[in-house]
Amino acid sequence: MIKNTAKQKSLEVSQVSHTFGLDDVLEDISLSIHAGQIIALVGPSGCGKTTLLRLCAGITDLVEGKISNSFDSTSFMFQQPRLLPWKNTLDNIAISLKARRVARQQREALARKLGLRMGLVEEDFKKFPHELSGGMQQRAALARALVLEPDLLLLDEPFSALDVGLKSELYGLLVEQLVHRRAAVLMITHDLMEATRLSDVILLMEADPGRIVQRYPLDKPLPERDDNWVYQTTAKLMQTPEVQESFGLV
Amino acid sequence: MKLLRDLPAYLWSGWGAISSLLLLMAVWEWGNQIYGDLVLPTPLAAFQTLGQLFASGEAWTQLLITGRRAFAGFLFSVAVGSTLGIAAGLSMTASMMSRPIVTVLVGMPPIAWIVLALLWFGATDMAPIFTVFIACFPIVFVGAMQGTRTLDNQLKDMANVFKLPKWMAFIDVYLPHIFSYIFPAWISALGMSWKIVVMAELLATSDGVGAALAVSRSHLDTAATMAWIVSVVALLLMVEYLLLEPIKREIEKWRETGSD
Ligand SMILES: Nc1ncnc2c1ncn2[C@@H]1O[C@H](COP(=O)(O)OP(=O)(O)OP(=O)(O)O)[C@@H](O)[C@H]1O
Ligand SMILES: [Mg+2]
Repeated sequence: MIKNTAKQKSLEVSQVSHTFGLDDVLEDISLSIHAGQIIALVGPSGCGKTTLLRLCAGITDLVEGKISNSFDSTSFMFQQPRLLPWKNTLDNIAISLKARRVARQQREALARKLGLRMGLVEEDFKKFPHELSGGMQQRAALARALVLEPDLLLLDEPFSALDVGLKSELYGLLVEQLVHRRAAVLMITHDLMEATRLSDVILLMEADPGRIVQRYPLDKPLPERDDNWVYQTTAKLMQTPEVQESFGLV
Repeated sequence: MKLLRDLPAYLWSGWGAISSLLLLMAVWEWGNQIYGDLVLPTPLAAFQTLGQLFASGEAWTQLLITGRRAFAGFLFSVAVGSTLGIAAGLSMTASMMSRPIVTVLVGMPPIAWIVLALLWFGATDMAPIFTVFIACFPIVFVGAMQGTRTLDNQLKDMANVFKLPKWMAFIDVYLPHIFSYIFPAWISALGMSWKIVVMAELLATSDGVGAALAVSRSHLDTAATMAWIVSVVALLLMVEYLLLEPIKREIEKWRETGSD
């Protein structure tokens, strides 16, 4: 639709390798993600997914290769909630707004609105992180990542601690964010079904060293993906030798 | 304020403490019956003497002098200990180097400091103040250093990812973490300062509760001795449970261990 009107915003990762000490953690990773796209990164535990995401966010220093990010604002959600233990839920969600000097009232209103959409309730906002359940902490962390309305979201297993009902609700929320604002998402997940439901491309990684072994484009538009299609597609993916090998099913 | 709202429940929880204090009184009374008035006067006699001391204004005067000294030494150790502790925590080398020094300071008996202080400052205010300072310093220093040392990368990553400006990262992220270590150290130091100051006064000054204790000892006035001891201990308990403990609870509500 709005193709070629402006220079497409994108995150380009090319030929990135990474080592921790003597361990080769990532080898020759290339990928690109454009506005409005969701890419899911799946792969076995320890294959370097988090490391790749941290490199994209610039939290870990790049050793080899090139990463360029032309998005205006990038948000990151850690694998662990990492809320500040001495701040209540609302202040935790609003922290990046505070960093941008948004006035207290306004940032609390924004944080509250988003927190409620995440399924938190009013009482939760005054609680400290240790008084929240694991799933609530995760939702607060997701809200914290979304509250600035970033146009690139880097999410490290954002739904891992949630039950099925909440998951599907938050999927809806994420898709909405995407369609409305043409945000891009690079998301790590262990759940192939989740990847199938949400992403435009699934990148399959393998360990030792971490590398991308397969790319599965999914062409069906997100709103048209019903349960049936998701089950069938996931089942088909599970049959491929690459997936079986990557997840150690053979 | 929440502090006031919680007060009744907090006081109620003090019943256990009060009953154990009463038990202590009973043991004291019993000791009096065995050893006689000269060795251990009855609690009643001690409290009567205490009442007279307060009525004459003597107790207020001496407690004020002692309190001022303890507080001066304490504040000094908080200021110097916190600053140096944080500075040492920021550098691996500095914290390694300070370890043996801290061990020496902790291991040094306070009485040795009192003697040194007497030699250095004579029988002035500075002797007890210095002794309090030097005894409290390592406690505060270690608390501040540990708080700074335990700042982890997770907190730094957090501050980075959400692009917190430097001042905000310090106020909202690093400082609360450090403070959660420093504050308990401050409290231990305050308790320590109160004990040390009496001991220093006993040997080094002519006024203050410690000096009054020395006088009552030389008069073999056990009732007055017990009265002074009671006043010192009571003041410490009051400061601890009516002031510090509630503040600590309020400040550390976010801690898992601090919650009820
Ligand atoms: N800071 C670090 N220092 C040294 N090694 C690290 C560091 N971070 C990660 N590693 C190593 O890099 C490898 C990849 O870790 P990473 O966290 O990226 O895995 P992952 O794919 O996210 O796993 P999971 O799915 O379990 O979260 C692991 O072998 C890990 O031990
Ligand atoms: Mg990970």
